[in-house]
Amino acid sequence: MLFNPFYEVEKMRDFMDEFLKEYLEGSKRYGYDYANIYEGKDGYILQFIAPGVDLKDIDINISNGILYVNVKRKVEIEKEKRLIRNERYDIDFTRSFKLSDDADVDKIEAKLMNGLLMIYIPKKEEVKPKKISVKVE
Amino acid sequence: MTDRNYIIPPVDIYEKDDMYLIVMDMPGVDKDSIEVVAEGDILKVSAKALEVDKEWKPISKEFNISDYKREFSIGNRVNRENIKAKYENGILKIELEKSEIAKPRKIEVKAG
Repeated sequence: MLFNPFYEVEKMRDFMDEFLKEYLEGSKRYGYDYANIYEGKDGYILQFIAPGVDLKDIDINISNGILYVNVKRKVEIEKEKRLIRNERYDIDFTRSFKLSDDADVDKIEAKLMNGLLMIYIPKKEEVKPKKISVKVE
Repeated sequence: MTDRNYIIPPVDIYEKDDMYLIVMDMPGVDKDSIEVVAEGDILKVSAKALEVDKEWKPISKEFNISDYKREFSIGNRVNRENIKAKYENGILKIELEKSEIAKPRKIEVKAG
């Protein structure tokens, strides 16, 4: 009788190869700790990739003019199912950014939009130089 | 090497006796632009990226959100009539019901 002890393993591998038709070459990739910075008339936006991140797992701190951003995500595991392909991973990183003098640190706001983290840093309202009129006699 | 103008999203795939579940990280897309299409033996997933409003000028860019594309060979293992997709907080979940052929079968063995 013929018997191949690796039959199950080979079958599984063939199945995976077939299941995933991939085009990895030349594709764009990004890291979860990448950040974009935008400037507008009234402020700045710091943008991060944050799929599946909870607002409560985002920590923003300011100390000595440095803005620290910590983002965490635990990949939710579906316990009652078998994981047959795993490319997503947990996120846990801290990035720091030097704030410019015009940043209004008391009004920083964070928002999640479709898996993107947007941190709004408004600019301080321009302090207009005081005009003192002196009557000339 | 050709520079394809799209991102291949990372996926987790789960299996149960009667279904597959595909979980994809797809942050920053317009929900209405997501397309999940079963075409022949292939399940095609694509989505268009949301742009930051033009009034915001990039001053430092480490990544580009571009369109997403990924394809899965589903052969005859999936029932095309019952594919469900849900997009939430940057994650796309696709539920695929197995076709009868892909479901585990228990074979009764008679003692003879």
